[in-house]
Amino acid sequence: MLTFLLSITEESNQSKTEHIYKTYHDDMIRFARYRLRKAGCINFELDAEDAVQNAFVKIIKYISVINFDAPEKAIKSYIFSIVANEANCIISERVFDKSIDDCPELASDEDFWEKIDLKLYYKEVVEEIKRMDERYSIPLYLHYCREMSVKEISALIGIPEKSVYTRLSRGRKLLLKNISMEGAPL
Amino acid sequence: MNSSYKELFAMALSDAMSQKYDAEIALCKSESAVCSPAHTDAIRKLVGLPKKSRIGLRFSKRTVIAVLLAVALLLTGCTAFIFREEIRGWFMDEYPGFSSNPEERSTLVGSLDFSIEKRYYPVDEVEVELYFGLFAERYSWDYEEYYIKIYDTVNNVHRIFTRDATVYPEGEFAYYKNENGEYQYNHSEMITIPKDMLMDADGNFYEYGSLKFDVYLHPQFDLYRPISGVGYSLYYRTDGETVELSSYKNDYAVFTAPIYEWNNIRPEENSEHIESILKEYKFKAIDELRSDSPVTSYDVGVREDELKAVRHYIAIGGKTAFGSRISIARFGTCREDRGYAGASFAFAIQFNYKGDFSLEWADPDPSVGEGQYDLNLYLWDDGIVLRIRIPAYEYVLGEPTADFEIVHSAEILRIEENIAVKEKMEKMAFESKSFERWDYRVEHDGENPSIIVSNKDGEECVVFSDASHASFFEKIFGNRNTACHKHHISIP
Repeated sequence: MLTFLLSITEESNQSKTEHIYKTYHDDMIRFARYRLRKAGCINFELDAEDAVQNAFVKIIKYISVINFDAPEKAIKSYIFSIVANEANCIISERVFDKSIDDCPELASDEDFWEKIDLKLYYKEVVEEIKRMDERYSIPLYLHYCREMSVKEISALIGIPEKSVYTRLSRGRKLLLKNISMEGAPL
Repeated sequence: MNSSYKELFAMALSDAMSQKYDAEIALCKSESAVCSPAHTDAIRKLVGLPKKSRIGLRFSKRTVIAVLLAVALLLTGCTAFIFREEIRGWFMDEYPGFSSNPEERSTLVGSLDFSIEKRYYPVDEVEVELYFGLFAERYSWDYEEYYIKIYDTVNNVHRIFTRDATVYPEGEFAYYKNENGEYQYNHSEMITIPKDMLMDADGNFYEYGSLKFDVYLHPQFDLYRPISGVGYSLYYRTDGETVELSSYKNDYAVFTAPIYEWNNIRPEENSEHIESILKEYKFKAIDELRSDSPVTSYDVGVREDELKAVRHYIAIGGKTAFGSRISIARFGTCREDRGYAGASFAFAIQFNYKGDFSLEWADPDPSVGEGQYDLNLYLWDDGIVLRIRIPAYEYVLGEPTADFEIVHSAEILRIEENIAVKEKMEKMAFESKSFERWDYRVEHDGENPSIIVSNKDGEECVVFSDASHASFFEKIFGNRNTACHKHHISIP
């Protein structure tokens, strides 16, 4: 597989690709299998391989986003968020039939930043993000941590830009809502 | 928008995602990360490498196993070949082998036979299929060559064909265990009789001859050894363009003399028997005897004790119908000093001289020359004497045989005109008449017997009155105690 990945990687980025492959490939496979098996996919092994392969293709495509000088957990979060997204795509195609339009409420950036108090509720926010549906957390992560544009996120996770906007807004709204429900100030 | 809030939120996102994924990875850390073959094939296809399917992998394993088995079989075969002599006994009840011990090898016996169709062959395409077999209780092939010796016993020419025997033990020279428990080896091959064997030095075809085939084996560390019992004769007659072959000598009257038990024959006691022999003689000429015939001497050394083995007198007389060739055959090829009881040997002489003849031959006189016998032939019509010197051979033949074999054609040593005989013959009134029928009688006048010959008209003539010649006839036909014997010899 590495041969294939290197063949589609620019020469200047081949060492980075090789590093990612050698460091994370096995965990990516296991992670994808775990996700898909947990979601009830019958052919989870083959689906996991497809998910990882698609994830690598996208990682290579946006490899410039990765700052290899950053802490490993940052790189790891980025890589596995992509894998998780690919797995979710497979799961949503084969298992889920749940529309993301169930939550019509949207939250603007201004409202979000005004209402969230991260200094006070940092841990709660982190925990809430961990529990949040990845349809919202991954776009939020890519947008706010990787500083990717809506267009880039759209290409990366394979959904329309409008959907990215919607997911970002709803993600913020859900985050504020859930923290508020647990006693956080809105 | 507070940028510090954004950084803090990004940190929270990163921490959250990292913790979330780490927790899940920890849950499946012990699982295998090996990809499926289908995925591997798909990737190889994407990259452009040949498919490495599961089926191909299995086939490859089978190929490896097959190669390993082939190598194992090859090694086994090589080992078996190297130690083939040692393991031969594994597959046979008895280890067969002709011993390489020369003493034991003397037991090597065989047989020889021919397959010929009695017909006319072109002289240059006379092919004889020859079969020979060897018998032995044991077998160990150390023979490098075998020879097929063909010799024309009438015309004294021979030819040797050498064959490579080393290629035969496992191949054509196949062996089997016969009903007697012996290992029998059979072989057959076509032998073309060389055309020049049928011709004399001047390129003229012999009219007839007798070919004898013998087989010899040549071991690695010994001289050639004739195979006991292997030998066969056939007879031919040719007109120069075609050759007629036969297994039966009587077909061609080459040697129509019957096979006699010459052993212990005392001529003076068996005159009637000898007479009957003479009556049956038929001779056939192939060329004319000329007075300028080459004279060749044999000089074969024979020990004194071998000379003493000669016991018998043989003498014959008669009239040839045609030619003049002289051949000598040997009968009863045995010798006392070889340990055969009652052994003796004798000579038969074939005269093909055109005309009447007589022959005398007696115990060899050592004074003549060691190992040589003089044989006098009287050719009456020409009044000459042919003195034939015969070498005393060292007879090394295995089994006594009642049959005879021709050892060679006698060389004419000396042709000398015997005036005395001629004169006596001239006195015979019937000289110019016919010798077709003649009688003789032996009369004793004191110590010297006389031979009185009479022709069909009743005319008589004293042929020999001297002791030397008369005694010769007396030995053959006469009896000292009888005043007169009358014999009738008719030569057709």
